[in-house]
Amino acid sequence: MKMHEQIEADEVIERYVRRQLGEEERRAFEEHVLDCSECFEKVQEMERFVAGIGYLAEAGPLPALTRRRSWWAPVLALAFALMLIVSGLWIWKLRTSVDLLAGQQQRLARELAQAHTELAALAAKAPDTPAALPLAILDASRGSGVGTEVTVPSQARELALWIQLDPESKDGSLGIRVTDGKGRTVESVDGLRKNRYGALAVALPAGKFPQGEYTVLVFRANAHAVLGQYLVKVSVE
Amino acid sequence: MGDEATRDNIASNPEFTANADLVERIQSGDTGAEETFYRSYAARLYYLALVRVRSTHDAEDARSETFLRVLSAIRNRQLRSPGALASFCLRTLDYVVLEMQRKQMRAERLAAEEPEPAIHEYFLDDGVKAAIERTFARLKPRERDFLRMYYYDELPKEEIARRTGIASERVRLLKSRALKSFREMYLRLAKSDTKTRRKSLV
Repeated sequence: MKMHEQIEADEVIERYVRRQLGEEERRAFEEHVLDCSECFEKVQEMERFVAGIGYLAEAGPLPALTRRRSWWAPVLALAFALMLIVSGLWIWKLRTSVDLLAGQQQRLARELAQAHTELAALAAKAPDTPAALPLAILDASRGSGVGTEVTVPSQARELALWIQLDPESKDGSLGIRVTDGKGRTVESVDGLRKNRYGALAVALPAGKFPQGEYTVLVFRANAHAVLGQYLVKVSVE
Repeated sequence: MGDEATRDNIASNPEFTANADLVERIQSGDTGAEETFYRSYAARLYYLALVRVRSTHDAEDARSETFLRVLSAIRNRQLRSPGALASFCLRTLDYVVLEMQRKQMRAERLAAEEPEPAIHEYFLDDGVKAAIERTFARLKPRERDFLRMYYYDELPKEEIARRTGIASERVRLLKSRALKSFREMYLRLAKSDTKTRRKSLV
């Protein structure tokens, strides 16, 4: 092998610049460099290269490797961040919905209480039936299986039904039909409309309701679609 | 490179006979030959002195002193083997450096004068620094990391393999690719940067 091929194969120039040659090898190479412009130029190039790396390392643009990051680490971090954002949005939306529903519930409760007060006032004002307008309040929250109990005084001429419906729905003309425990129709009223509280308020002849259980059906007048079914237990005193 | 093989190759170097001729011309009083001798060896002796003393000032002194002694020896026919001029120069340089170190010249100068610039300032001018920085900025992070660990931190290959997460036997391949990338990028930038004349690297 010729001299330069050997120098190339053994990486002599790089090892010389990095001071990794043994004493004899170093001396032989230096003697060669003194007479070889090609090798001297290569040594200078390698010195510039290593000095350049040293300059960059000390000046800052070439920082030391601290820890090799895997490709999946930033991907996982991004996915985790996205998950947190989505969860946060979902919780925020849920809380907003809950707050909205709670607000609606409170508003309905207030309206119902106001309606009670107004009805009681109306009943009190009636000259010939002082405090004799029994009222049965029917709403979906009571459930169909429990029923609403109402006591009808013997002197009462009318029984009032307050049927709470969905205030948001637009039902148009409504009707009710009241059947007794044997399924016979006791009373039916058509052409009803929800009042400003979203309820149907109906006064029925009290004499038609002896003690017993009755079923009240609410339906749309034109479509005959049943909107609700309520159980009323009437007791007479 | 084996030491014996190296010496055999040096003996067969054509420069060997050329040096014998140069020595004869100097001995015969040819001032042109002295100038040729100086031009051929000045930069190389300076570099070899710098490697030894790690100071540009001391390297300059060591080179001057070496030239004086070698020329004196040639003129006085004290050179036993005229063909082995390079070997004689190197031995003389080593003696000169040894004497300088004994006299603690460097320590005295350091106490009296401005601090020496870092040795890499000898190899790097501002143009080369900027070119190297631009080249490194375009290398892959893995290649940048490797070149620093290998040439600056001088970590063993096993440690480099551990830090980069590759097998030890692949370090050599990584080195080869990193050097190739650096060389290609450096030359590509040099072509696009016609205003700057760059010294070649690696």
